Amino acid sequence: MRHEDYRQLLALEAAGALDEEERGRLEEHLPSCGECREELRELTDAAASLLYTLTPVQPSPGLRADILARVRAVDPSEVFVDPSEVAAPTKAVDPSEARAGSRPASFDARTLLRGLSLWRLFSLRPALGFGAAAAVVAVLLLGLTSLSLWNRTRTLSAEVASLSGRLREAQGEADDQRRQLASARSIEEVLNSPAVSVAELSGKKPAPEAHAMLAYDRSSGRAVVMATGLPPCPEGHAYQLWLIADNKPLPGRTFKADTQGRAQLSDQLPPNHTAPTFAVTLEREGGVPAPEGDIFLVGTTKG
Amino acid sequence: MTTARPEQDEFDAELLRAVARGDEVAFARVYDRYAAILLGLMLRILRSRPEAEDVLQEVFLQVWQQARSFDPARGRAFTWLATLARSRAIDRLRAVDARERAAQRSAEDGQPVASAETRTWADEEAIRAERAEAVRAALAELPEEQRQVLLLAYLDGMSQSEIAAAKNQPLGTVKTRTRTGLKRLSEALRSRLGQQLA
Repeated sequence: MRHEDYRQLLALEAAGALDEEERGRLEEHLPSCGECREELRELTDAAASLLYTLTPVQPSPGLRADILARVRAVDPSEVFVDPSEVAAPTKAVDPSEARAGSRPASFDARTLLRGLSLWRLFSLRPALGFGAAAAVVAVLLLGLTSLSLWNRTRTLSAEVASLSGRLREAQGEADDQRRQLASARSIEEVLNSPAVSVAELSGKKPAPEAHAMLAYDRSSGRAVVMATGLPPCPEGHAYQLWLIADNKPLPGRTFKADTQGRAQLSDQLPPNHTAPTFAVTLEREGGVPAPEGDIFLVGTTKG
Repeated sequence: MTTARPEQDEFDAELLRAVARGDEVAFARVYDRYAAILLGLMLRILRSRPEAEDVLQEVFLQVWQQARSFDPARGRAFTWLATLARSRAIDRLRAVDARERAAQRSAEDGQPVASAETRTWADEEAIRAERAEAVRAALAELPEEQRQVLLLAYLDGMSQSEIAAAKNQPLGTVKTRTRTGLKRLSEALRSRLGQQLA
């Protein structure tokens, strides 16, 4: 076929009306003919403008979001890379340089090219030197890596936010455990002291069911109490611990019972009292210097 | 080749280059600019809204993945999009069972257009309307038979032999009309809009 014969095919190709066989022949001619490529470009632009004669149709609600979501989900490694595109510098082609022999192997994969084939053909270039090609590949890989890192950064930001939340929760849990451990240690210290004495406190009239165990370390004054069966404190009130020595009540800390009537308390009381009596009264919240309310628990240390 | 490019084409090309770099905002902008026009083509070719929207999704996914294969030196960004969309729609048309399509056609004719969901950017609709007017006027300069074969070929995706059979015309006549019609259209557009469309 002569150049003029190929020219006859250009408008039909641009209108999308060329059959496969003729198309194949045109594809072989185009890389070597700048004139035909230019004319095809103009005719294809004209054909594409026919879309403007159609009434635009707004896509269904949600389609935009769906497409954006799908795009975000595209793994950058799946992004299509055609070898002919890798070797596509922006400078114009000298038609005389573009010979069939210099085409990339992908040229024959017509099924891949389909509708885009002629566009792709325009990108065919004489083979680059190895160094230049390697540089282009490197730049492309860098681009893909950037895209990948960009997506990764977004994912990681979300993960960091979620992990920060979980870290705060974990810290809260750790603080609780630390408090429990400290409390267990202080109980252990008190119980292991050679100067420890133990008292069993029994419930008095307001709460006959109440019961408590108390350990008092005479050498340090540390005391731990574990009580059960205590009724809930009325609003604005709290239980208060007392050490009674020589008929004189010395104030300890205030505390409240949990919903099951249980309470656990560590306190620092005056040391060096031998066989003191302990009592728990119901007082104003915050405690009082001398007992005013009812006695709920009382008992004396043995030994 | 002339390098002078009107700003709209330049802007489209800029958008596709940004998409090639993985810019989602640019991608959404391309969608907002062209989804409705491309869906118009999909519907014209496929005659089924679900099919058309499905292909529209495929097309935009392909735009995302292949934007770097667009080279502004080779033509307008819009032509690249249109070529991609048309090719995808025709592939789908051939894949869909003809009888099923015929059934859908009768059921969905006259279906109302859904409410707008693409973001409308100020003056873009005016630009589109202006282009549409120029293309219609240029097309009106063509004899009816040339206009017909062009629309059947490009917008309906019919092959020359299909057009020849449908119009009961010799194949050679169809080819000549397509060729003459498109060249005249190209010239008419150039004289109307200068570099803008041709």
